[in-house]
Amino acid sequence: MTVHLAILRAAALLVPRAERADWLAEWKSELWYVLGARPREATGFCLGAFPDAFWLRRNSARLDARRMFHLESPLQCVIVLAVLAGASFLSTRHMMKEIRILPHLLVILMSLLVLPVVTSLDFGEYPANNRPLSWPGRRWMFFATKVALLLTTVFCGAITLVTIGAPILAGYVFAFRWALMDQRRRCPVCLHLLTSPIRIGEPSHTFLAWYGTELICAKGHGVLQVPEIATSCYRTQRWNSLF
Amino acid sequence: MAAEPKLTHTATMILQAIDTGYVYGFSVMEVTGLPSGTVYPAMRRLERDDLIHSSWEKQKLADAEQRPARKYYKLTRAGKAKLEASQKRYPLLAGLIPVPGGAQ
Repeated sequence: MTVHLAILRAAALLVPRAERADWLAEWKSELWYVLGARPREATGFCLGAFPDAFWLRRNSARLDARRMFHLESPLQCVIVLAVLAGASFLSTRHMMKEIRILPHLLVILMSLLVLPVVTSLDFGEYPANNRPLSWPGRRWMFFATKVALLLTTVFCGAITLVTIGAPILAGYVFAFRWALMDQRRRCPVCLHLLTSPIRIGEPSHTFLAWYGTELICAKGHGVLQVPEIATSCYRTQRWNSLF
Repeated sequence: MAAEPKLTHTATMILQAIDTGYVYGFSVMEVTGLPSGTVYPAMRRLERDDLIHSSWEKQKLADAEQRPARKYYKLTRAGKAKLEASQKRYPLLAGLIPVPGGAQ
């Protein structure tokens, strides 16, 4: 029973906090009945809690780490990342003389090679007839700033915590991946995070229509259509301006 | 013609089981033969789509029988309509789910 409860508690860590107590109560209750009827299958039953927990984590409307850390506006996002980078830098200030830059540059290069394996490098389609940005390069400046601050955080964190190796590679890959994913979820006009994701269409109707998620800019600049799978008509995410 | 979203065979089987009277997760698992890692996420999806509704059993009832309270699932009106539509697509499905023998 203890092992089974430990499995359920481990899976519960994946469940969003707001739903965790109810979720765990249901699984513990069901486990009691499984142990009564089919004790030999209890471990297999408990392991099934992980797909369920993953599903809840992926589909919970209440969970959004970016909102949790107040990253909605570009300014707030840069401030949070700058604070992280600053704290990371200050913690390693006394070690700066001993640092060798070249190994880190090589790891950054390797992480760029690994990056296409873990995420798409495509930023999406942003048709040319959109309302022009007030400052056309603003979007790319914002992306470059995010990448620079994240790399600083990982670089200084790596010096403090571990030596060069796989964890650092993973850190750089994660930093690039996060910056790309965050950029894809922002309005190209105001750079705020897009909101209100809704699911559109059905997988069985991909021949004549697309299916996926649609997000909207809270300031009304446009909608972003993100296909679940790439099709000939929707190869990548597409921005539709509402102007 | 309006596009009518269709349910998978597994989702329809779970809906059918709940409608037949297998109203909690473990009983749905037993009657469908599906593993827990399939049944529970599928029930979450059905609940998110408002095809089923869950509610906890009253604690007093469970305490009286010295067992933990169960979370029961029930088809909504939309769920019943969807099941009826899906039964035309999977006509043999109703025969796969036996009617529960006694009180659950």
